[in-house]
Amino acid sequence: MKILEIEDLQVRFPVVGGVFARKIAEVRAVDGVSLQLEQGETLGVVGESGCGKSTVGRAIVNILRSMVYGVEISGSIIYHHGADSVDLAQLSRKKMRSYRPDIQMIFQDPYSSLNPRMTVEQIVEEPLKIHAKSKSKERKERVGWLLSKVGLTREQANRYPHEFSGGQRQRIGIARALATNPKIVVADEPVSALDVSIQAQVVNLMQDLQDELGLSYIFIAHDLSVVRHISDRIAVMYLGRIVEIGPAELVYGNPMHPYSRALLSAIPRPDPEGAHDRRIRLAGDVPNPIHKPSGCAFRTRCPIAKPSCAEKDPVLEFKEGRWVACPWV
Amino acid sequence: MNAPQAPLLQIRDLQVNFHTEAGTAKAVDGVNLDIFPGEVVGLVGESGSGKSVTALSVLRLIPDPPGKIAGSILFKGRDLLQVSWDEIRDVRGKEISMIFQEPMTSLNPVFTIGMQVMEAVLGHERLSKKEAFRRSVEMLERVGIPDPASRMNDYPQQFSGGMRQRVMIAMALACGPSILIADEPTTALDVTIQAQILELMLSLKDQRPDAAILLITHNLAVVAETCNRVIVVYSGKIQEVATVKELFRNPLHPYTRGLLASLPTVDGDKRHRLAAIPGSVPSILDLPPGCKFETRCSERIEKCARIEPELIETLPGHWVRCHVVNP
Repeated sequence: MKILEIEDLQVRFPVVGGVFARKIAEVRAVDGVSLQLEQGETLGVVGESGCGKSTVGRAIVNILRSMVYGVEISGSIIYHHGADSVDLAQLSRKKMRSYRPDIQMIFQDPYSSLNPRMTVEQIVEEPLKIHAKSKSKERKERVGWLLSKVGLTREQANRYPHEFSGGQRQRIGIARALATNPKIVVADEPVSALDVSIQAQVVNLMQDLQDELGLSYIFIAHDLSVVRHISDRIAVMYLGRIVEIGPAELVYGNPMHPYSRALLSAIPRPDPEGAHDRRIRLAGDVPNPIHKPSGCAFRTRCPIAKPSCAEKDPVLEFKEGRWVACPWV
Repeated sequence: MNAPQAPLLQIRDLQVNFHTEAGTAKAVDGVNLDIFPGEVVGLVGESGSGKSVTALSVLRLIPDPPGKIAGSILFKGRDLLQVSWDEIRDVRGKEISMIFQEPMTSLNPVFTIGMQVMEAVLGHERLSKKEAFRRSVEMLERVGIPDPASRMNDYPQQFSGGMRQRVMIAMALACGPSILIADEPTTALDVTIQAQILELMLSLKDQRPDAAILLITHNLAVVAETCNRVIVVYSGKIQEVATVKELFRNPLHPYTRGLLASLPTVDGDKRHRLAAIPGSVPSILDLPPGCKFETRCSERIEKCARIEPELIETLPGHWVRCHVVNP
């Protein structure tokens, strides 16, 4: 069952300049993204910085309009709940409130995403105060249950965030996200600020909670091995577009798009005796998204680019079990 | 590396303590480490393990107070911890240079790239400005900055993260150092750029085969791909030392084994549970008296909590600090 369907999502941020801070250009951070999320699955979104993966996540939880003045969002983000569906992209902040409990977010930085002046109990309780009409005693009970779910003790509930390590703080962030019993959790780089030995704890926790509560995850990360580990399906993004999307074992086992291939070949492997010549080296950096190359945005770094790539926008086509946006593979 | 060579750098019983209001933090506690000509040494550990502090001590970049360094660091017959500030200044950048993690903050935003690269050259060599300019352009070209002569007049914010890290490498290599210390040089970068930067660093060796690199990182996969020898640190102590092949084939210390097991693999099975190390790193203000890893170790025995194990050469060239491995 599909729980989320994104159709041709476009997000344009204004670039302001000059004395009066007028809009002088725009950045198309997300440039026509379509994807679906099944109930209970994990969709991994990978790509280099600036590819728009975080913006997609923020569009789903509908916080872009509160974050950036003048942002333009088009396309649709259909959320299916029960027999009803609603387009989140067009909802006002007020109308969005009734859907917020269902769609929650886990943030990257466990240091700045928790209010230092609130105790852990207050932090985890706050979404319940806002969204659930329950008595104080019930709320406290639920907070205790949530904390035990993420591996913290009831005694720790009265402490402040600074008394916890990074991994523990990320657990608090997860407990807060789960407080309102969400259906979809958008996790934006949830483990990249953590040490390797702690990363594994948090990844395991997220998987256990998914199995137990039937959550659907959008897992955004630049650490490609973690994404591979947790995801059922994976979308590879480059400059605001999906270049390849499909089942994790296909996209990682046999990537087809030249960008996916280069990206995945660049992952260092923890095996000193493995072959080191597998790497496909990409020249240069990601182009400036304000001046995107015409046609296929990847053509400036692509090892198999042809002159016609500058003219035609590649579309996602279904090939060998996954969707690829390159006519030459 | 096979012939018995004299080490380029010898760190002996390095102790770095930070005196803070909350007490004395033992960041580095008795580290012994040799770097031989021509090798790439990886220093691996989690945050707070003391790996960066070790590197900063080599160039005496630890602020004092609150930091206190003890021990000795021998380089070319001198103890770097004893020489005068003028002498250490000559070593920095010329003989031992360093690349930092943050390419965003390690360049000065108010000077052009050209001025900063030229400063690195002029600080150590008697050259005219013209010659220094030419050398700087050459260095930028070598690290792969397109159109280097015109980019000399640009400011750091006009460069991307990967480009800034290239500039840092150009500055670090400008005077042909014999040791390059790289502290998490690719952590802030994307994987495709990471691969480029690591290759560039290793290219130093093409030019000077006797130069050594000390690579500090938390990423074991990066170590596997670049280093000859690995040193694993935990809570300010070296826990295991081995060649890179030996360490990945036959990790002995429970901590190293835990780290390797907790890595998600790209090629392996999907959705098995990762073998996480329970708990978290102990605070360096309050370290356990015995083995530092004892609080998280699944194989601990009775004496681990009481007696700190010694670093012992368990197999030839493979040193381990563990009571269970070395009974």
